[in-house]
Amino acid sequence: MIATRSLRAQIEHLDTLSTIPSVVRRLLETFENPKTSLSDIASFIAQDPVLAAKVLKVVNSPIYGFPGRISSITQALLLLGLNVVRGLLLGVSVLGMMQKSIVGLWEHSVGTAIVSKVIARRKGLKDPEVVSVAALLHDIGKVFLNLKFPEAYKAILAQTDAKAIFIADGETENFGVTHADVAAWVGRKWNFPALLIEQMRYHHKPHLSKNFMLHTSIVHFSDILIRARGFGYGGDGLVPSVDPVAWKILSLSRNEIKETVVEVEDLLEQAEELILAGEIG
Amino acid sequence: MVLLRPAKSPSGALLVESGVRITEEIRVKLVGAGVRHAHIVGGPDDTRLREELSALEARFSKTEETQPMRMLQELVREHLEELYR
Repeated sequence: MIATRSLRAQIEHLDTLSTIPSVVRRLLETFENPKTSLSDIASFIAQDPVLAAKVLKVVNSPIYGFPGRISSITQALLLLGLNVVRGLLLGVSVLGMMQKSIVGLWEHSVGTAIVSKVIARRKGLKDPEVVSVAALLHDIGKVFLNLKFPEAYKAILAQTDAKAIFIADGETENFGVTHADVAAWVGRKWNFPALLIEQMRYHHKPHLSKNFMLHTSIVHFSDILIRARGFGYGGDGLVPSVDPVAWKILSLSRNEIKETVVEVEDLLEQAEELILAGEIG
Repeated sequence: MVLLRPAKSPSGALLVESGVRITEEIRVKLVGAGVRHAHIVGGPDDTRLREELSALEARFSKTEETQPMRMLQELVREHLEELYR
């Protein structure tokens, strides 16, 4: 097994990998600068019409569901804020890599983001879009582990199917860490806010979240609910158990969960265009 | 879904006998022959539902036997039955 410190160093220098698309490489370089501003991000996106179109597709999808159509990146930045758009940029930039890593991972990520939005609104969160973007990115560690260690990761994926084990357990056995740890490393390296990092890091262990337990619990339960529904594929075909602390914090009645499932079903249908975008990268 | 009465073409030719289960192949054949109405009994083909419910069982095979998870599985089962019936 690779020492954790060495593994982390390798993941943090992913941008040197030749298999990383140039747009992602440039994006990560931009993120590394802690002083990156709204106008820097706007200029970055303006240089790449394909990327701009992908971002607009996400912000106009049922993940966000703004009443009017968002037609420009500037409008998206003003409505969603720098950190959410940065997260979205990373999400749409790696979506092609997501589908190459694990077929169905993009669908799983979009599905989790949609469930998160519905629950965040139900719980009256002031910033539901922050939860949605964390949900969209919650499994990004799987993409990076697969990029850096393709053979080992392929073997883990084969094991999850053959032995019916959770992918996080397969990762721990092989790497000593999980995709959630990797997502947190990546988040820190690229200056994501603590709120986003904590949701990604603890989406399997929300009780460990020190500062954002409600947000993290929403991503945790949304991941479980979309797996239970059987939408997309997160790397194993199993439904993990809900964390008792998260269950208590969320305090959702049977009826509320049922209504959420029904609402999500409609939204997933409406999000078909976005979900298909993952197929073409 | 099973045909309650024989399905005939617009010209009256017998296409499918009564009592036959309507598969996708038969449905296409009937529509292609110009059939627009058929007398049927039973709900839609539940093959898809059976597959979905079986996959649901498999997905929950490693889940802890806690009250929230039992409730969640039951709730998704109900949802799938409503979707596919």
